[in-house]
Amino acid sequence: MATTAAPTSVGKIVQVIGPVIDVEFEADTLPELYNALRIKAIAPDGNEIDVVVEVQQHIGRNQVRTVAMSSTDGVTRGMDVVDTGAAISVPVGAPALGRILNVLGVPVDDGEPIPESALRWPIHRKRPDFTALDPKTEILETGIKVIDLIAPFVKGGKIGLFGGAGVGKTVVIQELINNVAKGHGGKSVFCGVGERTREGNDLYLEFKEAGILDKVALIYGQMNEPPGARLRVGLAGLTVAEYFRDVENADVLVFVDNIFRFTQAGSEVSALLGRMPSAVGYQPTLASEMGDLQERITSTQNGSITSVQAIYVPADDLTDPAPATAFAHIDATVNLNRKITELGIYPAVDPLDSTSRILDPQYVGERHYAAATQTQRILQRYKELQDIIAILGMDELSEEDKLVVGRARRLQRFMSQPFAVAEQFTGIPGKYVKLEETISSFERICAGEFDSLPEQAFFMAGGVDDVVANAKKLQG
Amino acid sequence: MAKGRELKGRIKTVENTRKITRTMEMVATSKMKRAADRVLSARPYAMALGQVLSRVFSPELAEQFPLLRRPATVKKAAVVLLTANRGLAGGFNTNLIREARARVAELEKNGTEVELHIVGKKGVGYFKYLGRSLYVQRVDISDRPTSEDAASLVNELMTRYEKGDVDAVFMIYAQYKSALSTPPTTEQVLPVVPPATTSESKLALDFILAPSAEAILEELLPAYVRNAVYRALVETAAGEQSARRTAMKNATDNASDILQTLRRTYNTARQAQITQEIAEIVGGAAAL
Repeated sequence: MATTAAPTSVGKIVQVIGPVIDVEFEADTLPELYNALRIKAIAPDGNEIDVVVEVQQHIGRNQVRTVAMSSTDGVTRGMDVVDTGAAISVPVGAPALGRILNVLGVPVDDGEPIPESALRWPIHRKRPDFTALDPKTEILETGIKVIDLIAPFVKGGKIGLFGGAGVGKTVVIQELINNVAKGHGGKSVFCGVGERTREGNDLYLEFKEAGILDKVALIYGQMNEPPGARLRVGLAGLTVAEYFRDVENADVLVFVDNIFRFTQAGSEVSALLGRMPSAVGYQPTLASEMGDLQERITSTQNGSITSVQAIYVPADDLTDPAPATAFAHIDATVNLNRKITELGIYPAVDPLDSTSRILDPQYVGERHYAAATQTQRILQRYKELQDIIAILGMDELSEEDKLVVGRARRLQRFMSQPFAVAEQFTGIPGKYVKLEETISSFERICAGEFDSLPEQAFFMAGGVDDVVANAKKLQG
Repeated sequence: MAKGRELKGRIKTVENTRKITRTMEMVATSKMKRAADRVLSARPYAMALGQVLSRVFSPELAEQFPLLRRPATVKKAAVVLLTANRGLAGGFNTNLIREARARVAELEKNGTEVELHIVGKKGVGYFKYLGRSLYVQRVDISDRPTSEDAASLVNELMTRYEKGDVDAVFMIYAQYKSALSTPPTTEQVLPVVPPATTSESKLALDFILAPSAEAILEELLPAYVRNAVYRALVETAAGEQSARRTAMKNATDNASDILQTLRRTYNTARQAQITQEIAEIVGGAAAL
């Protein structure tokens, strides 16, 4: 982890296995762990090779095992490897804003190169001390009804969006960027880890269009990159955010899409590094890798980092070690459920499985808490009755239960909401619902005020006024 | 394998439910058979009673018998609703209750006061839930109703009708058309409406009556009303069993469908678990 200038030493490649490269140095000139090494050579086919690798292990016999940050095509044994004497670093502060950087801090947006004089921080940093932490309990309004009600976000907290493939994690994160980052006024960092390159590009153009590009730093290591880059790009993005927090004392928003890819990249190189696979084939160091990353995403007395992390859930199984490890670090959990997407309800937030640390009368107030728990109670009862309905039919329910089922179905539909970023799919302009309106809407539906309106009217509505308007339209 | 155990539990639950619904289906089938026999055997008597009544009846007699009186305005009406004591009969009770509610709403819209006479736990429970006061609530009539049950239900009503306390009595019951069709039906019990007969048959038959037509009607009218109620009770009882049989058959089928998907999910999860474990053991062994 040390970054002090060590005497530059040169080694030679002794083994290349995909992204993992072993390098032999002279005795006593071994680079330290996490040091960046550079391979610059001309491949036999005439292509120029410029690969940065990061030291992972000292494996004896004066050899180090490293992971490459870019493709190792053309790299052969015997090539020279130069120790840079320091860890990988990224430019921080103003030069990073408005740019797309890769894991090495090199701009990839076809713009001007970053000046040599720019301040750079190494991507491996210590987490803040316990005494510097500042846990906050203030609610951050998102304008998304179901999230504000069931899983209120914490200002300066960590938010996890869990969901399987294709349930809408990215759309939710983009809507959050739209609702929160655009009106935030402060600085934001978007970190693309192993997700679609196209989405990264879309986001860049969107920021540009909204005119807030100069407040956003984008750090991408998308799915086209080798595992080394995907493993480290999260840290690079964090470093940029940490600078704003620690030096500029700013309140920073950090979006990470997708933390699972970080774990996945770790698992891709783990076996090549010679570690024995652990449960479900993941790396044995899964928990500590996740911990090292998550512990740095935190608010201190200097400034705050509010992070929204999308977390892919393999095969919709939340007990899979990758999402399970991430769970423990999160303040507000938003679970996206495939069963709900099957009903056509977007965002497919599972109201019974999502929760937040601050959903507590002490922080959000009695009224909000009561509305949220009442909603959950009705939906829970509906869930319990579903087997009975499936076997015996609605007719066998008691009158009270029939009422509960009707209300639950209305609540369920009311949890859908048109998104500004999804307007091109739904054809309905996005709706931002204020927290106060969300609470009163859910209160009134739970109280049965709208039992007489058709269920369809609750679909894709903003506040409860939209529901009434929809019902009028439906009745002709 | 937490998911597997949970699935196993659900499979067990659904299996047990299916066992119950299948048993109930069989019980209802055999009960329905006997109840339907009772309906069929009650029909000839009811028909004969109706024929006699319509022969003896003439409009002039109406003034003499309070049970035939036709009030110009109906101030107060009694609605007798027959429901089952037990549920698990699909929409049977719900349909009867719905019909009763529609009838009551219609009467009340015309400014008539309605008193409710309800037979069967399901109907009683529903109207109590609505918070309505019930004039009579009976939950003691079994699924083998007797003519005494009918008499105890309607005798008081007849007396009060004669006195003019009540101006009309409607009965809502399930008509037993066939095992598959038991539609809720409303029938006016009081004032007595003699079944229509073709005028020819009346002309063709000229009886000499002894004792007089008045004396016969005196006995016949209450008997006719009681019989109408008895028939309704029997038909409702048969309807309940047939509705239960259909509902339980559907429930059994639904449970079987659910079981099939649950078992498939369970087997997939189990197989995935095994594959996973093998992969881990093999991978671990290879790494050593």
